[in-house]
Amino acid sequence: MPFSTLRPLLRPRNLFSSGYKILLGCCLVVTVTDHFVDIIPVMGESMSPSLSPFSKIAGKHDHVLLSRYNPTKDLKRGDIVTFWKPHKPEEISIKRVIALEGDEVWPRDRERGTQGGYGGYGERANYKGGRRIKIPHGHVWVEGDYWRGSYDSNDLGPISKGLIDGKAIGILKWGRIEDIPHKTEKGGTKVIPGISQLPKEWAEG
Amino acid sequence: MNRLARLLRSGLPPFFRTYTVLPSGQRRRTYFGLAVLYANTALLTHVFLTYMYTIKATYGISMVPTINPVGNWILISKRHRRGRRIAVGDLVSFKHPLLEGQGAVKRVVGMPGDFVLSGTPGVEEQRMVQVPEGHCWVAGDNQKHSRDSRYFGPLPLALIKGKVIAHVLPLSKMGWIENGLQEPWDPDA
Repeated sequence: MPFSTLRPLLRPRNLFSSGYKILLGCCLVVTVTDHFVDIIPVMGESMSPSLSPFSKIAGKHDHVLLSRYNPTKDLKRGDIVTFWKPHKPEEISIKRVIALEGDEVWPRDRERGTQGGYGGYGERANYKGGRRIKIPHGHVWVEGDYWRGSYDSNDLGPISKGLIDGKAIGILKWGRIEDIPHKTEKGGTKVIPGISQLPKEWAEG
Repeated sequence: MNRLARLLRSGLPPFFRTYTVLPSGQRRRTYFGLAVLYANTALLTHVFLTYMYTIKATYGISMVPTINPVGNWILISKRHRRGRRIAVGDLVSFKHPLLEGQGAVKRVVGMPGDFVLSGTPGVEEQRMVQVPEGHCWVAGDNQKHSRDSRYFGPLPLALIKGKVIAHVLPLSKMGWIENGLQEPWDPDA
């Protein structure tokens, strides 16, 4: 935009009015991206080959269209969600939902994996796979498609649904919105579908 | 760009005008202008309530005697969302990790790296656990009737919606909430 177009905005009598308009524009953008749709780049290779397969090799990042409207409603196994990392409160991660609340999972053995270990506490501390885990109420099990380079539920444990803030509904390619490919490679984690009930401590009251 | 500049100078088409100019030179707001005004106000209010401060009513006996079981309204600072500048002893409002769509208010008793007791002191068998990275340990002031980290484990800081900074409604309680916790102090040192 040439300066001659911008100059009237900077005149003192217009400064307040244009500042107000810029503030309103920022508020509009924030509201739309918080509650409706957003476009984010996928940094990192944890979701390859579905998303950003050349992230680490070539630095090419796919852009994903997110639905921020009720992302946890009707969540299905296989959906791709973004969530606030439980171990880093200011960062967002994108992974695939493998199991829902009430399901049971047998995580693959991660002894030979990249990250290894289970960042839980108590009984589940330093968990190394080979045992059944029941997903607690209101939680999901998420994993990256590229198991060698993914920091996911195998390290963090089940993720609370409250952390989920978006669901990926498309991938931006060649200026168009395309469907996200399904997971092709079979993961090592086995899932037994189940039904979740409200924990008894909350069911009474 | 030339076209844009011309459009800016010529003004908006009639339907989108927010005001009309009367023959007397007075400006009168149109219905469209009124709708724009309402939408803008709603937008600014929404962003303020989401990112700055909000007032909420609470319900439940888990925080007695700090917060009354019914009819207590509190002021929440959203600037402390996701555990920013939260310290042990603060009251926080957070999304419930197990019950989707519900919120809760509890007191932070442990920050990442701290060691906390996993059970009720003096009642049940307990273990000393370390709060993991990015999590905190929350507990209700009414230990007997509170379902908190003793049940659902460490709470991710990312679930914290804000810090409770003042009581608003029972007029007898109205006022800022101070963090009563003090650093340990050794008079001989």
